[in-house]
Amino acid sequence: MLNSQNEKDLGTQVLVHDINSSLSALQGALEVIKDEWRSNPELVEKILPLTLEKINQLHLQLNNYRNFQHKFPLLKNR
Amino acid sequence: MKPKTLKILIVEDDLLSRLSLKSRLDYIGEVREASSKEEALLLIENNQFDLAFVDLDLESQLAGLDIVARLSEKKTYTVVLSGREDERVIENAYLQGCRDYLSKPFTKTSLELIFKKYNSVINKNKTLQKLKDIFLTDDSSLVKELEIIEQALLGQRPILITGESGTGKTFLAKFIHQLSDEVSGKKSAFVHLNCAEISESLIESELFGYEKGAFTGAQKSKKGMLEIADGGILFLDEIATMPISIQKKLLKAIEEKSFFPLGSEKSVHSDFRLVSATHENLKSKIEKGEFRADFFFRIEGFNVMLKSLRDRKQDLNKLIQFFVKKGERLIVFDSSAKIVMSEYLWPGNVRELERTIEVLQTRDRGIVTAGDLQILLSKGIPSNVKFDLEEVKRLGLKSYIENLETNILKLALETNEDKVRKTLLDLKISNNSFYRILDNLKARESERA
Repeated sequence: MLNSQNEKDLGTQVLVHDINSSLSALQGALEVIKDEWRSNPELVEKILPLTLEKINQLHLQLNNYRNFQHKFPLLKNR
Repeated sequence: MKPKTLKILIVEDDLLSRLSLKSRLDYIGEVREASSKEEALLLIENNQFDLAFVDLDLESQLAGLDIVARLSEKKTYTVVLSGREDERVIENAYLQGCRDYLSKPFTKTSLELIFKKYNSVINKNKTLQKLKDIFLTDDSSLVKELEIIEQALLGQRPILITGESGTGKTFLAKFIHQLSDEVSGKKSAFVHLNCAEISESLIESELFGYEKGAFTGAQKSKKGMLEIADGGILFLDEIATMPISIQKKLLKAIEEKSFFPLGSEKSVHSDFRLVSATHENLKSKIEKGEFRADFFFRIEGFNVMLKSLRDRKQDLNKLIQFFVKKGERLIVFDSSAKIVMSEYLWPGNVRELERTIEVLQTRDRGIVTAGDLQILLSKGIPSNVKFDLEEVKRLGLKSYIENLETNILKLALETNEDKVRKTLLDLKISNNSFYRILDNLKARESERA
């Protein structure tokens, strides 16, 4: 039980970190796109494909998180 | 466009995050990027960065912590970026020397806040130097007091300045306002009220304002000083003379940040910073029941005590040189004059020194002697008023005392810049006594004329 709880804690920590990092990258990218699409289209051109890639990555991370939570349904989130 | 003087380092392994952050920081300074620990350490070794943004998790978990430690050794203002929510990790980052921790995801606004904090930290030393320069002081205990001001600038807590008359309390309050505006980057109001200058009945309407018809003579509405000070500084000079009844009302207004102008049923919101000054001992006034303790605890926050000039004699030469250069005519002091100046107690402090030099600059002679000074400095100084039995015999006791009274009143009025209320309070005399002595003084002066 204790090992499972530790496993869940560690796994959750890693996933939360990854999701937060992706969200941060997306938030920053969207802010730059919003502010720069007129004045700096070259930069936006560079950022857009990376943004799409990041959205896919986030999608996967969110799925992983959901699956992980299902793996330990009786254990609490800390 | 401002020249790019700041050297900024971004350490981030995620390309998208790095690009976005770089595009924000490009406007502020010269940005260098690293995507791994090795790359970052190499850049740090060969460059001196002012500011660094470091992602904690690079090619391995928490690899960024070593970079934070290295940057801290090189005195770089380091901000950690991380999606980790574990408090132990945050604590560890601070222990390694990071100055700020930005939790991912973060917004543009939180990035702007980081820059505000960075600016205030960087300007801290400059602010202290400015304060030392305007006070022309190297006195270590006065510098310590000025350091309090430097800390006070970042917050909104009240400031209480104490010190004898002429030590520069009003000057400091105005400078605090100037520095506050510099830190915030905006222009704010500075509202100055000398509580000793106006009568008790007027203070209330001046502070809180009034509605038309609130009292006889209120022909139109008037904004109070509290309202005008919104967003800025309300400077209450000679706060010890604030009537007790007004202290209670003002205390409520400060606590609630709102108040009712006289005759109004609508409350007015005002968020100001209170700066107060006094030459009196407020704690002893509280003991005597002349000042409210709760009001005192509300007006104190950052307490600054300005030293008298006689207690910072090492600054005297610097001050003399400054005031001489400030005037239109250069004068020099011979050795005897220098001795007199250094031995004199300067009861009127820096203000008295400035005025003395102003007077000396209007004289014919460019070389000031001890004699020139003795005429000026001995003028109306209480320590020089000696009991002279022969004089008493000559004039009679009544006339002698009348002379003494008029001399003291003249000195008090001069010291208080003709403020009647303050003079009454200082001398602890009634209105009747004040005007009786004043009549004697006028009569004496017209006799002389």
